[in-house]
Amino acid sequence: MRPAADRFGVALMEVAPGAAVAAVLLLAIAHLIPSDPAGRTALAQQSIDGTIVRAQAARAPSVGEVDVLFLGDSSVLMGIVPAVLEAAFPGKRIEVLASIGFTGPSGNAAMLERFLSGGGRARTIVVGFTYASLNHSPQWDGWVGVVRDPSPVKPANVRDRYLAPMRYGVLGVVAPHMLPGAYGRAYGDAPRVVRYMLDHRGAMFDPRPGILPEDMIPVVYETSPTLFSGLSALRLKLEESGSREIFYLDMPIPEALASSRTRATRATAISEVAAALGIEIGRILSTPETIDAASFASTTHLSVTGREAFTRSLGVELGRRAF
Amino acid sequence: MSFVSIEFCVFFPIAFLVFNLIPPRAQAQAGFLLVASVIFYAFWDWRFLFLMLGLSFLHYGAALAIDAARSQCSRTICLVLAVSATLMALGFFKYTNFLLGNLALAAGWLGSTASFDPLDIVLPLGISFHSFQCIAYTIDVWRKEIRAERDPIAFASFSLFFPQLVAGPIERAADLLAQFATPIVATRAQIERGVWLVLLGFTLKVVIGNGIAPVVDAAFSTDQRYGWSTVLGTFAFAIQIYADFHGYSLIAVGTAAMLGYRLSMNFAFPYWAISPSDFWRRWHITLSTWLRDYLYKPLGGSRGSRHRAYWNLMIVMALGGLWHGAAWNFVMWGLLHGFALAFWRIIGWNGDTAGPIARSSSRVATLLVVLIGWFLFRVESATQIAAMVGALRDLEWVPFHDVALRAVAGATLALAALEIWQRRRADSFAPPHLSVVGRALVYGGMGACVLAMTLQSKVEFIYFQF
Repeated sequence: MRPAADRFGVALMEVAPGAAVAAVLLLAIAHLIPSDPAGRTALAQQSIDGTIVRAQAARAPSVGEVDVLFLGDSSVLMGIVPAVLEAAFPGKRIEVLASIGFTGPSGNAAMLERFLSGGGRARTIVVGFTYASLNHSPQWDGWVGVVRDPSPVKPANVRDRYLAPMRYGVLGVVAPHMLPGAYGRAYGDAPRVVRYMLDHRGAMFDPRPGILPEDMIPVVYETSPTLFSGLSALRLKLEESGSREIFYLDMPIPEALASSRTRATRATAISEVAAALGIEIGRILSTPETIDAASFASTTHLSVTGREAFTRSLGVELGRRAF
Repeated sequence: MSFVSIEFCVFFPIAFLVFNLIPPRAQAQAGFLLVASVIFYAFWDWRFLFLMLGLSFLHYGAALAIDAARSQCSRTICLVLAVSATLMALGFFKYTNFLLGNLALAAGWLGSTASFDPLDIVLPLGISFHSFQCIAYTIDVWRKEIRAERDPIAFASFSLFFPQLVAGPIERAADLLAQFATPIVATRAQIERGVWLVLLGFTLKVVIGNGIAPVVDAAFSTDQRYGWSTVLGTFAFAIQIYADFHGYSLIAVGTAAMLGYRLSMNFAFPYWAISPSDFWRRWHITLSTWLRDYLYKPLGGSRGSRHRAYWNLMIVMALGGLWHGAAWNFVMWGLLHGFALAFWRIIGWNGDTAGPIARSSSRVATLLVVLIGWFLFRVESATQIAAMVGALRDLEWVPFHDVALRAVAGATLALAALEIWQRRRADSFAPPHLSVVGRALVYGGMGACVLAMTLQSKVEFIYFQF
């Protein structure tokens, strides 16, 4: 054999068997991992929004009997601390099934349906939204489908199909797939968000440091036509739920973003929303309309300390009304 | 081009094939490698090729002039001119904006309104490594340790050799240039070793280095407010920079070995060091020996008084820090190591005579110095230092810390297991002695991990920025 051909042969023999084994290994893992019930592979590939919605929808059927169930958007998800309420009402069970504003009232109706289908019962239901969720866009409606079917996303292409299970499933331990920005700095990866929500009765916190200067725009409460069709669907589910007490909760906004127009539009909007849900004006919870901007992580989400203080004031109101 | 790219995966097999097909004559091989190196570099930015070639031929000519000069004075003038021109080029591309930034700061303090706006300067890839290699060559000729190379093609191939062009190892002409003077035919052992080193390098870089990079990026932020993030982020960066740079160096040595060339090993289990000086005998070995031979010793080394030796150490390490990057945090990193090197000397540390407790204590203290150093190395601003050090007051444990701890522990265990196995072997970097099936399984497993990690967005080699 000529020297050059010999050298090619040596290199080939060093590389080829390993390449064949690598291919077999990747194929084998790809066919084993999708049956992983934790869905780690799929979780690693989705956004924080997708993670939250799927996590809530997946656990909704197994929540069971609760004393207070919170529905709504992310201002509720990240604005309520169930442990604070449970400390205020010993022996009571509090759960949060709120997710993100994009799911809208229809998504909350679907969430409630999943809760009820698993045998869930709630003595009291609190439905809460912040101003931004009331101006519902039809473009968000795709999220309702995610609530109805929260099964993991399917791989987008062949490369994902065969490499993702190894990347996110096997190597995920030493090579975490981090969430971007402040969520990554606080939660790490998507599976940790899910774990946190499971450990905290469905609630989570917004880790962002505060409201950005460019977001300091006065708030106006606006409702959209598509909001009301969703509210009708949610009203039907609330009636089906058999809950004795149903309240509406308008989540607070930063004091610095409130103007006289904010107050005027708020009163109209929340009375219309409550009416569409079949909730009397008297059952709109009296909680602070505005809170100091320093207690917010963003324009719509309370900060870690802000949500604890707000939950305590909510506890006082609930104690007066529900218990 | 980067080693971790599709381009390189196409480029190298072709280069390997063609190199083995051309007649095994030194000039033809050097010529081919020069062409291959030019293509390799041009994939990044062809315009800087002229700068790199220009610097190479400056030193080629300077060395010939030194060799031909009759008086020591003429020899020294040639050396000073070549070294100065190289340092000026390096200084312009690397330190101009650093200088302007500091002038602007000083002007601000003095109340001056003079403008020192930064210039739009791109740092040529690999210029720091290339400059040091060329300077070492010319100094070696001036010292009469080697003769000047007369073949321009061989010299250009040596100075631009693509496996080590952009991030080292910084080779000495006596080792590498000599290899371009003789026909090279890779042996079976060299090819086997090369494949193993390339695979090991890719695994370290892509799986461990890139894998832990997002943890580091999340932890090193001005907005992060958790003390444990500072601690775990620093540990994670220690792993990342080691896996990244050691991985790069192994790929460089491995690709050269597959062609039949020997390059120096840049790392020798640095985190097992028992003192700061031991650390620098194990970390970026070709840079630390360069600094020793071409900076520390010419400054007087340890020959003068003890105070002079400590002063020399501080100067060398501060300049070593500045070589890494034009920012004060790199200077602080260098000074920290200089101080540690001096301190271990002051206390009269001797690793050969120390007992087991003293050795363990010194090992832990060294690791602490190294970790604090990596923190200084990684931060991007004084604001970030203040934020991350200030965060140490809040030791709240958040879910991110579970993720970071798991990644740090997993990577540490993997690296420790690898290095314990390597350290027990006579030749730490030889391929594993396995049957064909065993080798296929090991190589296949590593290859599968590397392939899977390509789903992650690209993370460039850390040392490319230097």
